[in-house]
Amino acid sequence: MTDDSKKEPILKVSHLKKYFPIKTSSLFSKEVSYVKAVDDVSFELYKGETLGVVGESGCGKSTMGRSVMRLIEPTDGEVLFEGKNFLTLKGEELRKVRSKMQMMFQDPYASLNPRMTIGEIIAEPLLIQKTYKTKEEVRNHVLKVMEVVGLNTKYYNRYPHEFSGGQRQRIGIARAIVMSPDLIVCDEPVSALDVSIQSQVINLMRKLQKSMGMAYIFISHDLSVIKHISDRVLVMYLGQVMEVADKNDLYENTLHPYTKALLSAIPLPDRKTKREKIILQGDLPSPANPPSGCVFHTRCYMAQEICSKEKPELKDYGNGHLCACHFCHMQQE
Amino acid sequence: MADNIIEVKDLKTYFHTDAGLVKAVNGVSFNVERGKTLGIVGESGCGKSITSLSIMRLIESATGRIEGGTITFEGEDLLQKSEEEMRQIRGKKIAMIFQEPMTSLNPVFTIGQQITEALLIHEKMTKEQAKERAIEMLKMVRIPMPEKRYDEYPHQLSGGMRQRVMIAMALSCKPALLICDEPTTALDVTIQAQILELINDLKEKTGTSVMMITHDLGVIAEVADDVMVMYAGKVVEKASCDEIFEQPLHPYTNGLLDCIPKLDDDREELSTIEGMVPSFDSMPEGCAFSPRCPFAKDICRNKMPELTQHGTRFVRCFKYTDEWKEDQA
Repeated sequence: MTDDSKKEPILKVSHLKKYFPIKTSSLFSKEVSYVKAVDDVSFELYKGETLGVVGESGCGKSTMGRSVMRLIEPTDGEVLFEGKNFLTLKGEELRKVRSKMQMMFQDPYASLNPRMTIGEIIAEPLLIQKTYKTKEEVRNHVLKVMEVVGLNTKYYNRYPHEFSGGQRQRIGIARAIVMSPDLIVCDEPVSALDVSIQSQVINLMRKLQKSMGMAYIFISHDLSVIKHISDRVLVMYLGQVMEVADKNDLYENTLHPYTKALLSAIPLPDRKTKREKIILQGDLPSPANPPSGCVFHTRCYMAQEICSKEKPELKDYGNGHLCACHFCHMQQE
Repeated sequence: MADNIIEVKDLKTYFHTDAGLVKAVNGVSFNVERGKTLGIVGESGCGKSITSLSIMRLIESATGRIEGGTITFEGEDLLQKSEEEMRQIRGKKIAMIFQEPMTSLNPVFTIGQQITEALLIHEKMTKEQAKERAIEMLKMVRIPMPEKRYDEYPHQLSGGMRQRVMIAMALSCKPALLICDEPTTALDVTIQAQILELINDLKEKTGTSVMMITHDLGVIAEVADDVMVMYAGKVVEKASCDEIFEQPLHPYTNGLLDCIPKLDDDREELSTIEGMVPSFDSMPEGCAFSPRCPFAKDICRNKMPELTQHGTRFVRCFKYTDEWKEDQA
């Protein structure tokens, strides 16, 4: 990536919060409590870049992705998309900006309307945005996109149930790129696929990124996939950012104990390299009742007294390598 | 002669569906050595789960039937057993852990009731003995506060805990063979690491033999001693775990290993296996993998290769036969 493109982030998320109320005040009780699914998340995304977002289930990575898209209205925070505050846009203006950001979902079975043909599904964004005047133009555009993602154009009038998981995910990709967006939020797009199909879809996504220049927010729980596809990686735990860094920096010079544990937990298809395993004890705490101080301290193998009392700040340890841990400086040495 | 806990020979499990005959498991043979772990790997639809369900004789239904072969377990053919005799074996001598701990636990019974059920039936224990044993098992699978968990319902536990309960239940009668069907697929990596460590530990402690069915070659590398790779209802390669990862022989195994993104490589593009697994109603002629195989020749498209032995290992591919060279000539 050149330095010029570094200067202009296309997406700037600051202090994004999404709290889901689980107990509201009533006649009898004033007590209000929330699940803090996303709690003060900030990051920047540059043009043509892939930001990998990784974490265990329930860490808020999907909610974060959806809040950025305003598929869920965030509770608080700011999302600047190409310089405009996306969260305050309304009506026609919002719709226009939305055409520049698209979404891909995990479940290729549930994310396509079974009553629409492939052609209709891919054409829908074009119709909503009123890009073309005639049906013929829309059809031609859709056929072109189908070719780009490797779908046989003969399938134009077929229904989703006639396709395999990998092909459906190609349909999802076609729908996402039909408006030539600048940003695609991909929520676990390859998790439901077999490995041989997964690699086909990942290659396609990278090829499209190169030719069309869009940025991806790639949400996944699979660290190997994230490592392959991302330029930078953001690690989340219980709604908070633990570590953000350039891909190589993160994997080679891991600072946060949680990231270390995640990395060591991946089973490698390799019998030779013996790694030291860090096996975390216990389960993810409930996000309705997160631990005090550092949210990770209950499972952390390095935890000291301070960790349960004070929340560590996300600090820069050089080259944009951010980490939220009281003992990062020790890891660095 | 190796001491095998189970020997499966030429197992054929077919489904008679409206769309036609589906040969889900088509002539599969393998052995599990006592105290060892056999990994069975393949993509969805390759027949790996049906193989394990056939061993448990859980296939028989309106459409499904075991059409041939033998399954010799401790010297006796399971396929000759009556349903009543099978019930004595299931859960006691052969136990199974399923992929989804959510759906394989009964939501209306407590954890305790579900673990003790097998103990009361198979071990003829009294209720007190069974409870004691159940709590001991919960402790063994490292569930905190087992006495309290004993009276809880499945929905009160997390996914990882439920899978531990499943393992506790499976091991409560000290089975000789434990079949794990994708035991960690629904779990997070940190929890997966805990469960795999636990299965390995318990195997050492109890001497149970394990069949580990998974699509994840990483999991195989962690736990298996021997590996069997399946494709479209047939075994395509069998070898020790070290051999498979060192030098895969079958082009499919090779392709599978190649297309996984790895932490230690920086390839721009991942290798792929073109196309997809053929559906059972449109099986290609000859070798089932030939339409996706980069090495396929005419002979592969016309004839199904046999599973042949090469040193200590087995592979189903013409590349390693004399016919291949003849085809070249």
